[in-house]
Amino acid sequence: MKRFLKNLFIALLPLLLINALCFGTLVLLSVGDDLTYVNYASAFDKEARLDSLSATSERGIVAVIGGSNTRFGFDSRIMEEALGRDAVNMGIHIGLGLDFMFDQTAPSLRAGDVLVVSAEYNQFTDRVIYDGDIALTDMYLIKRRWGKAFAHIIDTRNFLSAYKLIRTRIKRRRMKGGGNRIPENMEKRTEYNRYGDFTAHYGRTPKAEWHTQRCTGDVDPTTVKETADRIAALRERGVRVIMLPPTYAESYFRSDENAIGNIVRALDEAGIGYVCNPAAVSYHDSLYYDSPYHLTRSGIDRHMATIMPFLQKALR
Amino acid sequence: MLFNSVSYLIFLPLVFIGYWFIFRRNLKLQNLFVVAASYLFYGWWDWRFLLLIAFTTLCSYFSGTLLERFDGNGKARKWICGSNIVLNLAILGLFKYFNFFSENLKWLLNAAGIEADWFTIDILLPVGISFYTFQALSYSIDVYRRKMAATHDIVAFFAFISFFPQLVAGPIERATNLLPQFTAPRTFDCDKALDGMRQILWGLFKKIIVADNCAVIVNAVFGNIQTAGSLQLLAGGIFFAFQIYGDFSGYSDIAIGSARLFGIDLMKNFDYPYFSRDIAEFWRRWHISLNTWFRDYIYIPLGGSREGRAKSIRNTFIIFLVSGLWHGANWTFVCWGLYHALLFLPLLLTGRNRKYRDTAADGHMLPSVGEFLRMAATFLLVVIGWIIFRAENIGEAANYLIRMFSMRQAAAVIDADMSATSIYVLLLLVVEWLQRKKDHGLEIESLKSRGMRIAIYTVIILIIELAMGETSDFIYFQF
Repeated sequence: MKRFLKNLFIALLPLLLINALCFGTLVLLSVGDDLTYVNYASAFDKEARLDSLSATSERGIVAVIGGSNTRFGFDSRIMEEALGRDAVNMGIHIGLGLDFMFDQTAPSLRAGDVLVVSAEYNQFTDRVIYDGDIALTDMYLIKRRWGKAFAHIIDTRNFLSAYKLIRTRIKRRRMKGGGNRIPENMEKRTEYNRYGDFTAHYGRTPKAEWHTQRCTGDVDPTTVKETADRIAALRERGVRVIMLPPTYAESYFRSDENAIGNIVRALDEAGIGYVCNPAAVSYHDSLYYDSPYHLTRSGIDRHMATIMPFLQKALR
Repeated sequence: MLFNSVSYLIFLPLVFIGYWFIFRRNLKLQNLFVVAASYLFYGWWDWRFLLLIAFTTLCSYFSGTLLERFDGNGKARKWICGSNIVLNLAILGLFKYFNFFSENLKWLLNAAGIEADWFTIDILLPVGISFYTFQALSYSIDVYRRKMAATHDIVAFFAFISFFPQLVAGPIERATNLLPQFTAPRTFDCDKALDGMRQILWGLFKKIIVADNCAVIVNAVFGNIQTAGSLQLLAGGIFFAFQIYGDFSGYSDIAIGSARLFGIDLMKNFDYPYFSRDIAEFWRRWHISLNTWFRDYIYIPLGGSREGRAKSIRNTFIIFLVSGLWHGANWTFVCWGLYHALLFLPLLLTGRNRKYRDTAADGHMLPSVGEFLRMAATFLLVVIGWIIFRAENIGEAANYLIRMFSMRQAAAVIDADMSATSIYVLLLLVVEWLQRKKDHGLEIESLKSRGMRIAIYTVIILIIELAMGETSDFIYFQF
């Protein structure tokens, strides 16, 4: 038995060393990471605003969670005026997942506050979205929650993400020295307004090529159930939760209509139905920037004008 | 619990520690521990399945003791053995085939103009039911045939039926081979255990790297049959051949390797089937434990090939059709069995079904041109069979094959990267070709340099680490 264990240990030693070296490098690079311009680090700013409002707001808070459809598609100032509450846009990236989004927001909400959930359709169909959830690993590293980061790598079996994240950190170091050295098309922490809305695309013309993960899969009942449980827990605390369908470009909406219909039914059955018909927030393709989820500035205006009556009605 | 999951990565060492360090000195307790671990392993899917497997085990155990008690009474013995077979097959039939036969009967009656308000049942198929049912049957049949004595060690018998490495997808063990291993004390064999670890590693490579990556392409192609071109459809079929091989033989490798860690030898289930030179050789090398089961318990009792040509043809068709149906309640599986029977028949009739008993290119590094062409032709015939096997229904299979052979251009791009997966498949083929005389692809203990061996392990694990995707079930669990 001793010989077996010894042989096993020797056989696995190089691998353990390689992995330790990889994770060690990742941690070291993350510790030394300059987060001034890092898009995901906008989470700190959003959380700071939410915490500060939680402590000081007298008229209550309206927070929006979701992936990049939320980040790109809301004008929180308009929402703040229309709903008479202090607004904060928590949206960053779909790959962070609803679990993270609820964890990040829920503790700061008090009785009477409002949470608008505008999650992308894919959140209810794919357990692992966008490159094996590399986004969430990245976020945990940025937040220096090492244990969570490594547990997530193991959980999603995406060891490759560790190497990819080392590469992005090295690239970032090369760009160090100020925002002017960062390419224009790269999303930056500094491009959010004080509410947490992303504003860099406001003056830009829509891109010809879009990137997205289409919504074609079956509904994942576990995600729907977990979301319903989260919402029930918040409602128990007196927080008002509104499920808002994400905006989705018309041509994509038409071709993915069946899958979206399945999601709508599943959410209704779970008692967390949408506040309005998803078709109502699907606009002409020309109002989108670089993905069927990302609105242009004029798209945002249209979206705000569309959703505000629904939100106001829901809060009456 | 999946072999390719983190849960198993934790479960296996814990069971290993308990087995060798805590319960080593008491055989009964050690077997009891195996049963407990196996039931935990199986109950991980759904604890309700445990009741069924316990019932099957008890039935077969008591049929064995009754067969022994009525030793001198041939009629009673026949009745006992028959009852156990009927009972086990009835359970299997209820869970696996009831809806299939019910729906087909309804269709037949409707076609005959009889309005039938038939019913189907909403029932969950217990994982691996076909595997452990056949294993349980082998015991009572062997006791009935007096090939072995009935066991009185119920704990060892429970361990034999539920032994977790091979419980849900085989190899389907014979009681004559596995049961005595549970009734005798085991000693730890370091070399055997180390080779078991190598075999597990090779199985993981086949499953995680080859099968799971092939699955992405296969799903994309089978989901776009209408728009895919002929070459893409052919590629889809070829990748499915490697998916199912990587998936199932990978599972067998992990099962056999895991069992060796506990000092248990399981039978070989795959013997490099894609290096076969004709269909008969393919069937001697593919899913060996099931095919020899059918041979020993159906083909030979029916008379095998000894009772004339007509009976021999009949028996061959029976075996292949039953084999098809064993895989699932769908006409595609029946057609797949029929297709292979038709391929096998000419070899049987011309007496060439045992032509290739040796290994391809024996004594040479590379095959001759003739051998290579025979292997390629056999592989393509097998691929056509796999397309029928993989299709949702007969219509889809026919559509796929017609489109594949009609030399169509693709109407749309298939969204799947074939280049990396092709490299993995090529790596699998090269390694298995070089190792084709060995028990598994990573049997490299004869390699003198320890450094080289460690480098090989490290590279394989790194490939697994970096190229693994989402955890997926093993295909054969559904059977």
